Amino acid sequence: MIGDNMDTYLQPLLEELQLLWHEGVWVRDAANYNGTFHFKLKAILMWCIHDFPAFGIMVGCVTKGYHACQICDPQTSFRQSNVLSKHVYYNQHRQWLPLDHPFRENSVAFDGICKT
Amino acid sequence: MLATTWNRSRNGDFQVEVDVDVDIDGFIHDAFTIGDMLHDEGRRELDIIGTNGEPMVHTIQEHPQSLGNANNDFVARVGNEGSNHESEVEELEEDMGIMVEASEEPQFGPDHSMFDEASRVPLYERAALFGLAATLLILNCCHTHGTSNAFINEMLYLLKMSILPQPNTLPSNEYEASNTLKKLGFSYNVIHACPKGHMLFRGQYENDQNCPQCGLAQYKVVGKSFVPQKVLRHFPIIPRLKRMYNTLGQASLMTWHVNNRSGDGMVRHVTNSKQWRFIDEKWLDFASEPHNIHLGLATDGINPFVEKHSTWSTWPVTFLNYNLPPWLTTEKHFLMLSLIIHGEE
Repeated sequence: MIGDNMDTYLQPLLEELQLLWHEGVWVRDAANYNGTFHFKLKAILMWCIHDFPAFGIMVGCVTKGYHACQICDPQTSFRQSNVLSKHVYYNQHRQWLPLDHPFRENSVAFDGICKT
Repeated sequence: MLATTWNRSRNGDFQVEVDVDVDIDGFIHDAFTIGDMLHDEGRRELDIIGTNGEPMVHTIQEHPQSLGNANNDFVARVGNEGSNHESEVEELEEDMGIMVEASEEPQFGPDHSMFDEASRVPLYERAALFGLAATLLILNCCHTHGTSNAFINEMLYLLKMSILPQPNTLPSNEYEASNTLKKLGFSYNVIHACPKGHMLFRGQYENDQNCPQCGLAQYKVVGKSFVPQKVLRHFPIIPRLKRMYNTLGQASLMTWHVNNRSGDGMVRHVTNSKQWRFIDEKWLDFASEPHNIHLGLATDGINPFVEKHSTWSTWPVTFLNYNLPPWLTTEKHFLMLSLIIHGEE
């Protein structure tokens, strides 16, 4: 089980990436100057691709329970749904809408709560 | 790109014209490049002629402390005769010293001398194919179709003993063949880990028998042998990146992202994305070199045994290379597997 210890296993990878970013390695380019061109190769890690549970393991943060949202973090709005018998996360997404959006005033469709 | 003009004469000598206000960094870079080339040809000396026509003697030789690294450890020892170049030459020497110290980092690359030696042995007398190339072709074909090691053993034995003329340099079994390739950099590191994943038995913990945090043993005893409890397989990416640039067809593909950006504001490749532009603007040095590599990392847990062994999860960690054209970025042979982490839940 990988669990919380993903960073342990990524150590050898990280050393390589840090060498590639800070120092660089001398590489011969076969495509230029009849293959006599040498340059210092550097590399950057742009992004990581994974699903949401794997994101929690890679980054080392909580992706389940009360505070599952990574952007709202402690302010995550959650509620126990009796119908689904599990946590549901909703309502909070209205904060990203424009201030004069009709959904913010619409309490009927959103459990009687206004988000102004 | 060579900053100064290096002229090569008919007998293979290099001549360079160095101004007093020469760009030292560029000159050093050139010296390294030319030195490498001369090393490939088995030569050691480089004559440099100053602008006033007087010869300056530059001797390019391998650094004594790092013999065997054929790629980048060179010192241009400058024994100078032109008087007006003296201060510049001293500066040069200082700079060289710094460069060489910096390059004494652990080398991840394969042993190129071994490669050169092994790749020039023909398969049999007067054969057009080299022995190493034949081994690679056969192993590649077998592994593509997922054949068993027993089959490879038998086929290599048949080829070596019955079909090819004697004597020949084909390896006689799979073990020997893959050992040849291992020496050339087609190998991986096996790293033992704490069964609970607290640490890896490497670096300062290499000789430890137990995990310092939880006290669990590195090995378990099965019969009379010691078996590591947990194994991490690490496939270094640096040799592979080097090899991509050393291969003629792939080296030009690696700068595809610079020459093929869309100018109409449409996003056809990740080079046109916001994040890519942000990185280019933040690190100008990095962005100015089109060879530099932009990597993406993809990982997730998979179960190789499907339903039969549902408590097992394996985490392959894969790199994507976004320098390549979009139709090759996610191709199977351009994905770089970097780690395989086995774990039982």
